[in-house]
Amino acid sequence: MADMLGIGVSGLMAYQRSLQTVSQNVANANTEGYSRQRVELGTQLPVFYGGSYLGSGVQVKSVERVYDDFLINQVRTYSASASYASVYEGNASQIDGILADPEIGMGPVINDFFSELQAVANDPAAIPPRQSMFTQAETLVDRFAYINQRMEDTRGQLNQQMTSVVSEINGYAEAIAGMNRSIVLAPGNNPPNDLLDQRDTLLNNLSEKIAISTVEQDNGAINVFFGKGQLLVVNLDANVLRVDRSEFDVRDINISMATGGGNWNDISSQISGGQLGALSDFRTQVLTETQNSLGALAIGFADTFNAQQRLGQDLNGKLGIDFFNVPGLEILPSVNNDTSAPFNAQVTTALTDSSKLTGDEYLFSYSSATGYSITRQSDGFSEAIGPTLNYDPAANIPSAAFQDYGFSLSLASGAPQDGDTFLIRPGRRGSQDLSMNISSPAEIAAAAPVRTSVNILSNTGSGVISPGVVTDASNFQGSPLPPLASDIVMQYDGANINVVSGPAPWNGLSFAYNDGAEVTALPGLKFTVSGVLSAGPPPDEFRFESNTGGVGDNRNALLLSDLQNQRLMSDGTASYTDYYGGVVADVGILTRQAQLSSSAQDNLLAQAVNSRDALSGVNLDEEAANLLKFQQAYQAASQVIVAANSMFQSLLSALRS
Amino acid sequence: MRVSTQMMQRQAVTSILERQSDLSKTQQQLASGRKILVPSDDPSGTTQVLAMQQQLAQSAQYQGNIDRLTSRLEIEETVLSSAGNTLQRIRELAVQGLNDSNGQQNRMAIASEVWQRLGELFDLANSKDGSGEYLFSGFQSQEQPFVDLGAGAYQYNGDQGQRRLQISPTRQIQSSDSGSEIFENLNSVAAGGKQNIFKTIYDFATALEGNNPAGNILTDIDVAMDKTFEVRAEIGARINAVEAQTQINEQFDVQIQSIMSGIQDLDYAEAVGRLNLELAGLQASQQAFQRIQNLSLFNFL
Repeated sequence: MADMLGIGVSGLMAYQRSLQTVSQNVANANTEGYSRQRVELGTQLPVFYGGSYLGSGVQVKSVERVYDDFLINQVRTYSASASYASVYEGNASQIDGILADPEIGMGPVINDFFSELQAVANDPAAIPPRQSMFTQAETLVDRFAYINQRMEDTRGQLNQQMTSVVSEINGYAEAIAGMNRSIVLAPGNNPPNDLLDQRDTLLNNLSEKIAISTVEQDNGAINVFFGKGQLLVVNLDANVLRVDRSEFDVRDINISMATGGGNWNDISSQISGGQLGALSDFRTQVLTETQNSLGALAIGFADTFNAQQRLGQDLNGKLGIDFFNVPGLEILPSVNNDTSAPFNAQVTTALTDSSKLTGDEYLFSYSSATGYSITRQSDGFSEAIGPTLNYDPAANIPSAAFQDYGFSLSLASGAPQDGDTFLIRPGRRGSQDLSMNISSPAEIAAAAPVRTSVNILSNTGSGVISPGVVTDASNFQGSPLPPLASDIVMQYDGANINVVSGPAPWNGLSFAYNDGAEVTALPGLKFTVSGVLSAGPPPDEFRFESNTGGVGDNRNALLLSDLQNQRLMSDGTASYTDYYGGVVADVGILTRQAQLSSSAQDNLLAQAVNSRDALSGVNLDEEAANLLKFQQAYQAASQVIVAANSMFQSLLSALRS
Repeated sequence: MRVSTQMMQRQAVTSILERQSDLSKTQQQLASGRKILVPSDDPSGTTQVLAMQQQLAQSAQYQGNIDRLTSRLEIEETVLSSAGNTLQRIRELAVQGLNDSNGQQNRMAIASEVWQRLGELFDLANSKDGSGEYLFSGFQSQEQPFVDLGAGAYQYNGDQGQRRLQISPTRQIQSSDSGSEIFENLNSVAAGGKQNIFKTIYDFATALEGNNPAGNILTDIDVAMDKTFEVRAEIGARINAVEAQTQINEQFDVQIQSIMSGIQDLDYAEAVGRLNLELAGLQASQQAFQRIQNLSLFNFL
């Protein structure tokens, strides 16, 4: 009877614990990261009595949480990739939206600019179309600057996001180290279920910020790694990440980690996955690439447009001057360079071929052992230049085997020291620094500086001369002098056409007459003569003369507007619009990929969470059933006590009687 | 498989959110009429559309150029036609004046009309277009092409430049002709070489007043008239070429627009169908959620 009482009480105790656990499960049905708990019951040691073992009741062996390491790790991995994809997608969509918006993108502005240019070609002497084109050019310049500003804003936001993600990572790492401490120090032999759940939740939150891997220690602590084995949490301690300014540009940030002794190590390249990985990849793959490429377009556009404009003559009869100010190429010295006298190396860069510019960046460095070298950042392709800096594509840099990136480098002053580095970002400032050089619509060079004529009154042959194209204006006299000091007079002698009078370098030149063939014998001029010529006397005569008063001439305007159709970008493979389309498509493709991967990763994450919940999640119906079950068992155990009691009573009354 | 309560709730909510997101995209497409809302919807399509937008903008500009070119050529044609009529009248007067039955008095009268007509012809050669530019002075469109220096000397101040307008990516058409070619590049029997028509007529009128006209004036005027016909024929040919180009441009526009529309425009029937489907899906998920949420064993305890 005493045994019965003891067994009954053990049942009461066990089911009380079970009911308590059911209540805990019900209460935490919606707690994030909670694993349902289960009371493990077992029999108490039996008593050997009268040759047989008699049971002595039930005991609570442990309260276990129902979980599976594999499922939890899976959730963690997919959280990192899902938040990577979603953050990348969110940021890339912004740039995606800016570029192709008909109201904001460059496409329509470039089209409008060339339309206005055609209007100038239609009416070169009139001011209104020139004014419209001038205004449209300003709009074009503004639009480049505006889009660039949007990207700079994005870069600013990106820096803020990265900074706050880094501080969140530090917070989580600290909290996980704290949890490790609590878990290691937890008393008793049973697992501290709720602490473990909380640590799993923290790890899960951390993996949304950055991809991590974990190793559990014997003492129950968890070590956390990221990147290529960088330790974030070791046993009971957390390492700290810090946001640093880039050595080249204070507007860019890097991430470094304390390595002890007050030293910090740049670990930007180690970061992958999670929000931080997404922000970092978005910065290099989308933002920087797009900004640089767009800047390269601004530089290429200004450079090629200027080149044609300089071959023309404006409304005031002056040789065309640069239409735009071509933005300079950016080169930034590292803050770690030796700037002490007499070293303090200053390297300058100059544009040599705008069609070769891309969105790439280059690292230019000096080593006392091997001299200068240049490394393309996108693929790490590196070339040694040697101990002297004679890097100029026009003069084979330093030999023809080298890549032509479209710019030259020269040492302006100082002497480089071992380890000096420079970052070259050719296109970075292009969109921002593009500006107008001409200040009035009259300076649009719609006319050509020279025109041709046939000596109508004396020629007896039927020969005609084409209007002529200027290919090089360097032989012309500068304003206010007329381009040609005197007419270039050409006469036919029966076989050749000879320049019989005219300024240098043309005077005295001669070329064979070839009906309708293009003549390039006169420096900087291109034309054809056709028809039947007469050697006279008097010999048939043709002239180039200064286009004085030629306000109605639109030859150069036509050539300017033809630039739209020429392949002047991407090493002569793309027009301005093609090139811009390429930039838009690149961003579009990256954004598209990010969207697809985002929805795929979301699905994978949902599946992983479902698998985890299938095992560890609370099902209220199940808990209701358990509640009933344990309640009944509890009541039954109470009845055992009642029975034991009544047995005891009947024994007592038997004795009393 | 075991299902947790939270999971049921989450799945229901997720599916509702997904339906709503699809619905919102379809709604945006219907509102804008565009299939491609951002480049990432169809990166290669977007690039094509950008290129085609440029072609359309250019084509519209070419059409503008063509209109302008046509009007300029028509003005020139009209002026040359008047010049031809004037020359014709001068020729009639010359035939009349050459008739020896005329006395000095008659010839004086005829000469006075020749002077009038010469002035008329001179003014026509100095005509301006709608924007106030001289038609026949070449590139120097603000320079009066012909100047009367007195005593029968006429000087051409223009040049031989011809303005060209772009009417297609590869084609330029002259929108003007040099006055030197039309009025100066003329063989004159009277002068024994090339001479401008004004001087020729001036000399004839003077001879007529002196009662001593020379018969070769008729040949000289015929040469000048032939020249106006020749240039007018050329202008006509240019106008024809331009009209042909207009048709080509229009066809090109239609083609490009239909291709572009295929790439970026929304198929409304398909989109409306999709909208209905998505609406039904959303309603279904909402109802399913409501039903499932009502189920709980606790309701029966």
